[in-house]
Amino acid sequence: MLGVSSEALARKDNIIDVVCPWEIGSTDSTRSGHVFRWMSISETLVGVEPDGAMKPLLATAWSVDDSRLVWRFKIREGVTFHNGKPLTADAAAFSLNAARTKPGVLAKSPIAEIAAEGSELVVRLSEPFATLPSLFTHASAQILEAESYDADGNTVKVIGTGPFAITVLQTPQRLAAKAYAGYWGPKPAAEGVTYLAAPRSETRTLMVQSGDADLAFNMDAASLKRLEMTAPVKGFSTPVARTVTLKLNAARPGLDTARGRNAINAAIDRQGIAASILREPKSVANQQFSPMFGDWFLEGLPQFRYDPKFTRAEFKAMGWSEDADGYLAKDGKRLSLVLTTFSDRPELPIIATSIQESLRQAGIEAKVSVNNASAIPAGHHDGSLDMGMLARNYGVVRDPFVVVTEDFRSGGGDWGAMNWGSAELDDLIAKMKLSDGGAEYKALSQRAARIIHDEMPVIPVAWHVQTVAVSKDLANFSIDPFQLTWNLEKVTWAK
Amino acid sequence: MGKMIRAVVVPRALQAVMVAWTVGTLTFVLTRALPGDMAYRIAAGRYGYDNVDAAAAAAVRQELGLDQPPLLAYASWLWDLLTLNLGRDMVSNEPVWSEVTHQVGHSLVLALVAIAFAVLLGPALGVAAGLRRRGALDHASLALSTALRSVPPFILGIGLILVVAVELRWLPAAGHGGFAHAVLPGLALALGLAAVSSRVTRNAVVAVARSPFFAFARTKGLGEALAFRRHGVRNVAVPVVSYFGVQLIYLIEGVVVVESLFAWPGIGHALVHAIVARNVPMIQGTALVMGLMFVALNAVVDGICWGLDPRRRAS
Repeated sequence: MLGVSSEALARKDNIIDVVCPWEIGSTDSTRSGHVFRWMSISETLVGVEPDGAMKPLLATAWSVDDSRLVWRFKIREGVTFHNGKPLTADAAAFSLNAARTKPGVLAKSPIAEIAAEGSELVVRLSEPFATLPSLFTHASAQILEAESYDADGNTVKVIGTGPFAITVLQTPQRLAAKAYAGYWGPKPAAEGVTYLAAPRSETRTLMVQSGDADLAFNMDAASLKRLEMTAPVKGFSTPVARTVTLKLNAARPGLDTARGRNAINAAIDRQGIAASILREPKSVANQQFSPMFGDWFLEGLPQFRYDPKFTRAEFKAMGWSEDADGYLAKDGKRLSLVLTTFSDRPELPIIATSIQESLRQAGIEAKVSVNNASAIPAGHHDGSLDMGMLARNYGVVRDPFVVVTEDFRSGGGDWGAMNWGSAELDDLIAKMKLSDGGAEYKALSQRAARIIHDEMPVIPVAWHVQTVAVSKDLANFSIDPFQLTWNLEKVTWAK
Repeated sequence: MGKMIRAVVVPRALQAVMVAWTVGTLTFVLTRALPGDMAYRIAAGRYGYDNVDAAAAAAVRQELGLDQPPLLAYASWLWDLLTLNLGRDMVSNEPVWSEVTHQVGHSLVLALVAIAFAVLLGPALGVAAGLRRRGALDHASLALSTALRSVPPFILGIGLILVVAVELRWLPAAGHGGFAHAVLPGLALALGLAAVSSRVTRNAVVAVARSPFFAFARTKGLGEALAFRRHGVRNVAVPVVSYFGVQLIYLIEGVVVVESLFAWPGIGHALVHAIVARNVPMIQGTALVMGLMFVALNAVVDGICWGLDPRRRAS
């Protein structure tokens, strides 16, 4: 009976075993679609190159008409779903329309209608939206066969077009898939893949050490270094499209001016956070968008200064004085702020605590409150939030435009600015919607990034780096910086 | 048999009804009393924190009728319970019943493996130690069981993985899918159970060995083994079985941490996640099933003791 554990013990079983902290909450692509994309089970119309450029996937080409309201996507021929049915424009439209009825990026977009016309998928918009193709890179826009849905449009099975087809799906923790013989692209080297959600990092570390897992995600930097010494494992770290940010309520005294927000920015010890918490020098952020967002990255900016004395001096220059305990105060009220964060990303509470101490040195009293992630949007809406620490994924759909619109338009957004607005930025956003891309789009996005940088409604603390422990049995592992896919079909076995 | 039903089954069945009502009402009140907006929590659980916003929370609130008055919600929940309808998981939208049965199945497998290991290890060691009181084995088993019981199952689990999975590579470190996956988490729970049950057995054996009836059995010429088999085992078994009943609480609380360490999809793991996501139907469903499991296991223990101990049948 003990010999049953084939998937765990036999090293050379040609199956890639993945262990992650993230559970498979559901079969629904708007809820857990990312897992099925990561594991190369489902695919989207549009893919992303490692440099961020869009590439054809299930759509071979796309174009927009002169009104900029009608987009046409040519559907790839010769693609079949895992149940053998062919991919058609009708099937793609059915799947996207099902996703559009649920909360997510598609529901928020100005899409008025998605329909099939021959071998083309036609998308009609209520207003121009230049970055539409990037929406179709998102996991919630993955194309599933009609049989995947029940009569109410809920996903009950995951029948995709990817190189691997699901054989076992036990939400919320486990799935297994085998290579799909009818796949339209190059055949994967692996015969199959498995996914296990193990929320504890100790478990993931031990699974890599024992050889039960070939890929283990979200390893903290210290464990990864130790693993490299004790197990046949390579550490793999790649910057991803997430920025650890400090969201500020610009209606609070002290946070209500760009000068005040920039002064607080100077109290953040990014080098220290990168060296001792994230252990990754590449994570030091000098602006909101990391270099992977070519159009939005501001070249040539220096590192932010770290100088709590400067922070204190700036506030004094703005009319604040020190109270009996050495904290800054104005009109008899101390500069005291609650810093709300959450533990879904284990580094956030630690970074928040370090910032609490830096702010104390600058004369600002911060109280860390570790809550549920939803406390930040809830606090945004009832106005009770002072500061929120989070990790924002600007690459949800490749181009940060969608997220920027949501986060930095006047009034701010649940995960972005709060009680802040810039008429110029609103104007830029309107222009970018109409832009055809290219140099014009770049100039607009550079200006938008500059405004966000100077005004500092949200403080960029660190650029996120994804860490993975990779078994030395594997070769050609890569991860796209937008974390849309883990490219498991490209992984081969080391000699 | 009719007597046993009156003495064991009927009281336990009444208790089960009370437990169901109490657990349900308490979870209902407590989840409502927890801080934070439920709609936001549920939306975070459903869509992942990147996608929670006011719109998603509003959609959840409307879909689940979260703004209905608490008393009305309580009444409708009570009615659902009476009609055995546990509702749907607010995060995954699956029926709670099918999720809970899937998880209870996994937890029961784990609990049975743990009890089987504990029964094999604990009492055998206890009898051996008790028959040679103050011998080397007695002292060694005292030290070992003290050490094992004082280490939490979580640490025991990590130790077992390090030795058996990482060093020896005999068994998988974590996960589920085959019997081999159940051995280490089962053992992590069993060692703590076996540690104390071996001492309880040992004490019971010592008490029996010193008793006048055992001395009489020996005096009338029975060998030690035969005397123990005829006059010892049954007397020793009663406290040991009752003890296992009491220790089920250890098992149930251990299951919560051990399941999460071994990535085992059981009911403890599900309960923790349901609380985080404010997934009320799942909290109620899992807590209810855990409460009823407790009553059922105690009923089984009562039944076994009833069978073992003629004094109970007489009274």
